[in-house]
Amino acid sequence: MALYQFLIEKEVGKKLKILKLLPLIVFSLLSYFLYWKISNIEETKELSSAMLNKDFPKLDLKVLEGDLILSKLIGKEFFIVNYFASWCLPCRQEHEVLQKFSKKNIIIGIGYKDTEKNIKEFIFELGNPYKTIMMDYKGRAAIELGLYGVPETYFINDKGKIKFRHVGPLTTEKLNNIISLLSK
Amino acid sequence: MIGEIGHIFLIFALTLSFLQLVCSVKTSFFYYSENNFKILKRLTYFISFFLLGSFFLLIISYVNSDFSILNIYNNSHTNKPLLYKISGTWGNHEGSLLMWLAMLGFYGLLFTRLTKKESNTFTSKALFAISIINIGFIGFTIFTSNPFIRISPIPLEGNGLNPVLQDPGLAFHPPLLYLGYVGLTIPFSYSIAALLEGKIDNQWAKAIRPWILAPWVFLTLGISLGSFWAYYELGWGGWWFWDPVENISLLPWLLTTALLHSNRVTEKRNNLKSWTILLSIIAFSLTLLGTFIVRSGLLTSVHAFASDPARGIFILSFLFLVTICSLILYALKYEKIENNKSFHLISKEGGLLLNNVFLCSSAATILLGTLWPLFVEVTTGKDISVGSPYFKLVFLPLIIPAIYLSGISINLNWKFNTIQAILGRLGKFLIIFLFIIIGITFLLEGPAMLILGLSLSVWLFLSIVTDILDKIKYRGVKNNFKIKKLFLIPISTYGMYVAHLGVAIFILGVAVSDTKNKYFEGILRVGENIIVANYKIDFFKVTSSEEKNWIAEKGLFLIQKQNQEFTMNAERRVYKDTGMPSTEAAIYRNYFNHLYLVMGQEQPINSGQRIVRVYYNPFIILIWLGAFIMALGGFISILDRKRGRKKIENT
Repeated sequence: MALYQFLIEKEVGKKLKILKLLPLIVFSLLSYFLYWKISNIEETKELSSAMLNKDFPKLDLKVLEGDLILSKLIGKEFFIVNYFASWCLPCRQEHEVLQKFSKKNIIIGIGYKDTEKNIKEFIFELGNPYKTIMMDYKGRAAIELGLYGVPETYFINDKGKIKFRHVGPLTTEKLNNIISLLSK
Repeated sequence: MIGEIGHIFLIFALTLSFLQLVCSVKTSFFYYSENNFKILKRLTYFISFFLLGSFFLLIISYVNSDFSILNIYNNSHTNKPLLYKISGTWGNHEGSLLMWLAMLGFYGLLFTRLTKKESNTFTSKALFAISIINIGFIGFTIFTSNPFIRISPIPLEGNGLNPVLQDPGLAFHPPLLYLGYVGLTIPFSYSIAALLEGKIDNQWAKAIRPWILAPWVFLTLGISLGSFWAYYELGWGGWWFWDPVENISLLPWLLTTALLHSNRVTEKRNNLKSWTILLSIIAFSLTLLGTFIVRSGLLTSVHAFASDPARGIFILSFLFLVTICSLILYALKYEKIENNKSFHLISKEGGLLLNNVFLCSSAATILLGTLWPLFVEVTTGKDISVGSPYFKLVFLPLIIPAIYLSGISINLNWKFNTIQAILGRLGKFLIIFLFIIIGITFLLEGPAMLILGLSLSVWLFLSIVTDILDKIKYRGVKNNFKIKKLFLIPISTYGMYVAHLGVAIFILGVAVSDTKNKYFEGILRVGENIIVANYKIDFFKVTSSEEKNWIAEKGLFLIQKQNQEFTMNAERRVYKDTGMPSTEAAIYRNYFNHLYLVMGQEQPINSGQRIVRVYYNPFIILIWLGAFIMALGGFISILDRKRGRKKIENT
């Protein structure tokens, strides 16, 4: 009963004064953190692949076109793997860059969450820079690679290790930078 | 052509918003004149017209399948039904932002139209806040996510809309949710204006109330519709997944709920003023934070939009600017607005304060859980995900006491309650409550959570009944009720009863469906059968057919229970334009219960075996019914036009 009497007569509301500056401080910290996080997104996207310097997996995917077999290629030569899709606009942008690059290098294309018909039309329309095109219908293999989104490109050296991963459309300039970085 | 007009409308709206800013600064801080205020009002109307017009023109372009507009090419297709051509407008980042703007215009129009003449200086200060928000959002749309950008050459066919988004539930989920989010702009502007004026009183609290109720109603409807959509479209059998985006959308709702309660204290007792202001600022900031997190790609989820760091930086700067300025203003004016009157803990305002503490801490735990993976990734470099076990563990212990408390607070008087008064009022109530709970415990077998949930539900329901009985009773005379007194209870109080009844129904649904559900997942061949919750389910046959824009495989199931017999059709669709599959769950409703059936792909092909999932979800409909009743309660409260003229009761 004494407790009850205490509760009933207890007065609250005076201690709310800490609320004056607290929200300001908490929010400032939060936004500083978010800013720090988002300004670092670009770099983390480029390099922090868990797959970096690991063996490129021997993906078991259906081959749509081409006669170069991925599992036989790994560890023999330098090549790049390009994830693309017909529904992805940036893929169209980078296609020309890949066309040029394919004159001297091997590119393996993987169609991501797409249909065979659409991929064929895409290639028919824009030309084929790929030695081999494989299909990742549901993006299962993409999970293994930790794909961020299409287009995305993996650079694999002649020992079969992933040396670089680029997220987003490639431009000739970016591609040259990556190649010079890798040849160091 | 239509696209260009829409684009120009947007640019006009941005220019006029700058004028609105200049004009409102002049009338609020330097020199007030009737004429200037008239101009300010007109500017607001024009901005609203241009914003709504621009959105309307984008819809028209979608209906016409104008693929020369990049956004339409990316998100539409000629062989989509009309409804999805229209809803495709807001099914993507750019279009949804334009819808956001249109609603901003709509609320601006409504606000300017409905304010009273006597409060012109106040209104111009609120319009000052609105103009800044206008500039931020219109600028964001034009410079980082313009929906009217053209492409050349013009493609003949578009890329189609993500099939899971082609659903009536999703056609209406975003507009409702956005009406809620954007609506929070008005309480925010009210608070800023009040801070600038340095004066907050009952009148202010009364005027702001419908502007809090309206977004709250829309948020409630929007969130529950979204949850309903996830339930029957995603085929996971659950209704809330603690997905980051779901959590982020729940935060403003929790804050607005808290705001509704603290506003009540400000209105009736002229207290908790700074707290009410702070809540409306934070609720608005959280919608900005939500936008930031969803659109910048910081967190990934089923809802994620195409993400772009540049957009993230823009919203973050805007969020920072708006929130920091408001919070600085708040800190500066704090002494002026708060009189820090203390009050008794055992009183209606005490109960409402505690309720606020619980609601806000539950919101804080959700925010923490949602952002935690980011903190961990930054500090340790590890990828983790925080899932439903965490949220159930921390959210429930905070929300359950809040609900118990609300049952008591309904029955407490403002200011002061003596022991005799409380016992006299709640004595019978407690006895009936205990009786029912003991009855439930003996009659129903089930885990503790079921009993706990049921007790919450009963508690709330009883507390409403006691309060009504108490209100219609003759003072001093036992058991003498007068029906006529029912008409004296204000409409807003009825709204409160209905809303709390909605909560009781919602909890009943959650408690029963969560603890008493039955579940089967496994491989079935045509001709085989299984039994789930006394239903005998026969996998009869699979047929395939071609529909307007998809190819369907329909699995026919025969269901038997005692002497009941019926069929269910679970569908798997493959959309022609994108080739993407989607599942349509078959749902059989029996009173409040659902039998829920999902059929997977044939694996391996031509083997005749499929993964089939069956859920029996008792009482699950009550979850959405409860949410709908909550929203209805809010709506009833908005209707209370007499607010403010009525004599304050119970004081």
